[in-house]
Amino acid sequence: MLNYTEFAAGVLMLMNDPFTFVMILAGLVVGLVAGSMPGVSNTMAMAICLPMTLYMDFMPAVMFLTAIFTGSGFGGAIPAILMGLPGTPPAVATTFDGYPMARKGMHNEALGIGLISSCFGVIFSYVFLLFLVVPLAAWVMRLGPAEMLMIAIWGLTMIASLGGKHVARGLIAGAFGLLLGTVGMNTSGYLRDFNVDFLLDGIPVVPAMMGLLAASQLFTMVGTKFLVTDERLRKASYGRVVSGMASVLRAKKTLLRGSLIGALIGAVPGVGGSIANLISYSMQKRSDSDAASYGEGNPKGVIAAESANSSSEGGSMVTMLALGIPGGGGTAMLLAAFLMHNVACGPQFIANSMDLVYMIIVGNFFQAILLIFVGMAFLAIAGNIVRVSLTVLIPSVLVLALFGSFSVTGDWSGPITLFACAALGWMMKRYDYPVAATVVGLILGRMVESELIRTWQLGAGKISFLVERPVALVFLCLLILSLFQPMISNWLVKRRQSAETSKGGSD
Amino acid sequence: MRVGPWKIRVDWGHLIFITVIAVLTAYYLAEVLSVSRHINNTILVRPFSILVLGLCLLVMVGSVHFDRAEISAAAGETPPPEKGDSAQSRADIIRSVVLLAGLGAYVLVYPLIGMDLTTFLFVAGALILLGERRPVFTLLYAAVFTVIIAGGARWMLPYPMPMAFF
Repeated sequence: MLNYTEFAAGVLMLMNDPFTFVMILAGLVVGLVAGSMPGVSNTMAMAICLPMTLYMDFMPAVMFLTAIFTGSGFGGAIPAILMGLPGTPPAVATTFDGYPMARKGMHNEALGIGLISSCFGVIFSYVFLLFLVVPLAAWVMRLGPAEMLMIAIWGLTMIASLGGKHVARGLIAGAFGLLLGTVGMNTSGYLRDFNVDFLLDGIPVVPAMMGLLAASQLFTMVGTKFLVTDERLRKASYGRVVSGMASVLRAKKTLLRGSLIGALIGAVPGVGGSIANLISYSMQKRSDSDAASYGEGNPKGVIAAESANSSSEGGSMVTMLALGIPGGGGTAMLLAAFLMHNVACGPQFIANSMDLVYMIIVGNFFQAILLIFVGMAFLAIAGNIVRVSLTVLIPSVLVLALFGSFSVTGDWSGPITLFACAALGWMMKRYDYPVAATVVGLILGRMVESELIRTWQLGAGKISFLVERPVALVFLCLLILSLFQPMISNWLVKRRQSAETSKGGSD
Repeated sequence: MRVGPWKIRVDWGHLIFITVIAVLTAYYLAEVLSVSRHINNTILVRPFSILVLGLCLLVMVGSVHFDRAEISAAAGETPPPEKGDSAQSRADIIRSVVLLAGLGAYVLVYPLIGMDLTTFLFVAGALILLGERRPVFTLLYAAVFTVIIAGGARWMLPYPMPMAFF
């Protein structure tokens, strides 16, 4: 489990280099700024900063890049809460309750909740990494297409809970999103792109997501003067940010569950934070007796989403450090930085350089604690956005989203996708279709199709292949349980109520 | 519309929207089938397209309401068509449509005349559309915002960007 000698060596290595702490601070600021700019992902910020790390020693270089990773994890929550604008897929679930909280004038509390949940998520995931890096890496190696398919479908069950009162509309939104996610060349080489060049790689997800969730929302706000109607609630208040942070401590179960889901799902290469936040949010909503309040500004929704997307960072480090497999763009950049310093990740790295692994883990604990203070300072500026009139905010955010979409694709395809999806999202909102279900389908479409094809091929066309794989079977059981859990809960509540009524009657 | 004792009420906006979704789905299914009918190409798209088309049909039928004319007359009025996240007035909806068209024009025109110039025109136009009545503020804000965003993007992004001034 924990090698104390190597651990002490790692801590000493970190403590002996003050420059590393300067780079952590710089990395957090870069990450916060990048994360809070729609379309500028942690990957892009790390890519821009990667050449700088060539001139640094290994330790400050790695700490600088992981600090960008940590900072952007929370940075993405800022536009998600204040503008309903998820800059990256891991921030999608944060918009579900964070943005309604902001509309109610609870933006300070929501940001405080997001900040402390993110910090806790990072710390939790690295504690997880500290003790479980070796066994977890071995577990990840056992995941095949059938297991990946089950995980993706588990994420897709979100659609059922996002359907709202119209089940058919929820299913249309989810299935249509799934179809949109399969446009382009599939894993078997079949090209479904309508002869449009930029669709070869599929519909650009981030511009589509910004159009569906954020730009479309702005059109529904034409005619409203401010994001927060009550003038007294518009102020940026540290007191209320702190009270939001304190409220997280009253939802320990939500926080722990979100962090655990994030760390576990984050360890699965290619899935990571995109699904972790959705699964965590979905499980929180399903398990709460007050499920109807989710989507209306329930703080627990923000806790579940933010703790999961931040803890997926530590999870994704497991596969990167132990197997040398980058789970996403951020870890790919880190892997590149390792290689630039002639350090190769993988089983040999874990066997021979545990002191470096412990150094990275302890450095990230420090980053998470420092993020509370740096994040608070950053919120003093960012929190004032609700004081800006919507007359000014609507065109400004639209332009920001357009430049963000351009920055993702580097050509016309980003902006045109943003526009088309903004129009689609606006119409969906007008007729009460859950736009988030389309976004979830869009994110997972390609992965579901690829894993379905692989599973089909490995099982020689037999569906029984799924039940022959123990891990896939576990995920299948979890999927069935989460599908029927709301019905079972309702049945139990009704049974308890009728028992109490009959007991009251007999008294 | 009345047919015998029935008063037929159609939510035209919703009907058109769901028809567009159905047409897009059918078009995509046709595209996929035209590429290949192999299972590796259709394993997900075919069943999900059929599901979407079936559900669209269900919603289409649901968007046509049949009321007994006498009951509706007794109620005094027919209920308004169902709307989702929309508490906008008709004027606001028209302004939203104009703003959406403006965004479309912005996207189509920027490769021709530059991102900076179109950004300035879009921001200024949108401010006026959304009720800003101070011309100096409108022009100044649009100019400063354009300089910051277009200039910042030009500085940060490695891609070639069509610009008129930067």
